[in-house]
Amino acid sequence: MNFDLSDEQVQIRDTFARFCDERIAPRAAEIDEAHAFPRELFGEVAALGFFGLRYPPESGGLGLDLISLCLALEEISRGSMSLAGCVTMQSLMGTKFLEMLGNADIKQRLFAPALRGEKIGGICMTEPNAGSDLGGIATSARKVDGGYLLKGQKMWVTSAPVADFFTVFARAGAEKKLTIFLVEKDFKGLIIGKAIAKMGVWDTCVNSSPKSASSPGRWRSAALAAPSKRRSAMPASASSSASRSTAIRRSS
Amino acid sequence: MATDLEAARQLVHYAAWLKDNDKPHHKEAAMAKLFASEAAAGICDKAARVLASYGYSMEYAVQRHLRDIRFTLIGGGTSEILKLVIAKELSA
Repeated sequence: MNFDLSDEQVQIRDTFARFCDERIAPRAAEIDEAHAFPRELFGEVAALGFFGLRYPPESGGLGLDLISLCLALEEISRGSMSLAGCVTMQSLMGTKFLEMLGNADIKQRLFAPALRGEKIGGICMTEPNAGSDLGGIATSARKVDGGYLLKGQKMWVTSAPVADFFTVFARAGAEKKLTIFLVEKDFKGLIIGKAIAKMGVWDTCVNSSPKSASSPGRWRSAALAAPSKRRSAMPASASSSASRSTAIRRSS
Repeated sequence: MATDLEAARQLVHYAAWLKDNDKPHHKEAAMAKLFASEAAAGICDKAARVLASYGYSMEYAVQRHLRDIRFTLIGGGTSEILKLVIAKELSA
């Protein structure tokens, strides 16, 4: 058995350890008290390559392994759990489905800037009546001219008040297939709710806010779908096309 | 406290190593998340006790760690859900 970290893993750990000591730790109390999205540090984390750490080089990432991510994240978390919360969601959830399924337009307009920390992506799974159980998701999607109409409410959406786009889980069509949609913040009918006051992890303070659809709540989004093979919290596959966004479908 | 921290780190790295090497990791990932978050919550609680009244004061960082760490018992699967996942994997 070999428990040694590779030279590359050691370098990642040491880089983020130094970043923690020099940049995060001195401001951790301020982040906790301000309850504001730590935008400056968010950008510095992006500059270190964290958001693309797990993505392959052809997607603009560093193509590193999961242990490297764990090492980097342990150091960020040591400094501030609030910062760790929002940067983790950006790297593992907020951008994941765009990397997997986005077309060239989505990759260039949303994904690439998100890796640079210039755009913020949120993920909308949890609902008021569906927490850990993805099967309980009730948000509906109906095909309409030019896209899909989404109706429902989401909550605990990390970075929601500052996010530029959202990956939204909803049930599409008469067969109610669990499907993933891309919703941009300027889509008609999208309402971002109030930030939830919490006892800690204030990245998310900003983060966690209920999202409901508008009058009476609808998001328009384009769509397309393909079945997925994976189960687990992040299933999906997709394709893209249609006007401005992508949707993904999996058989539930 | 230090032993719990080291055990948590090893379990997390092992689960990550399994994933990196394309080996089954569902059970180990759930165990790592369960153990690491519970260990961290316990460590923060003990750290606050070591510092006694300072551990209860807003002037020191330990209170922030104590508040923040509770998030890890919930986000990404509560400890209770993780136990269900582990039990299912054991009986599979």
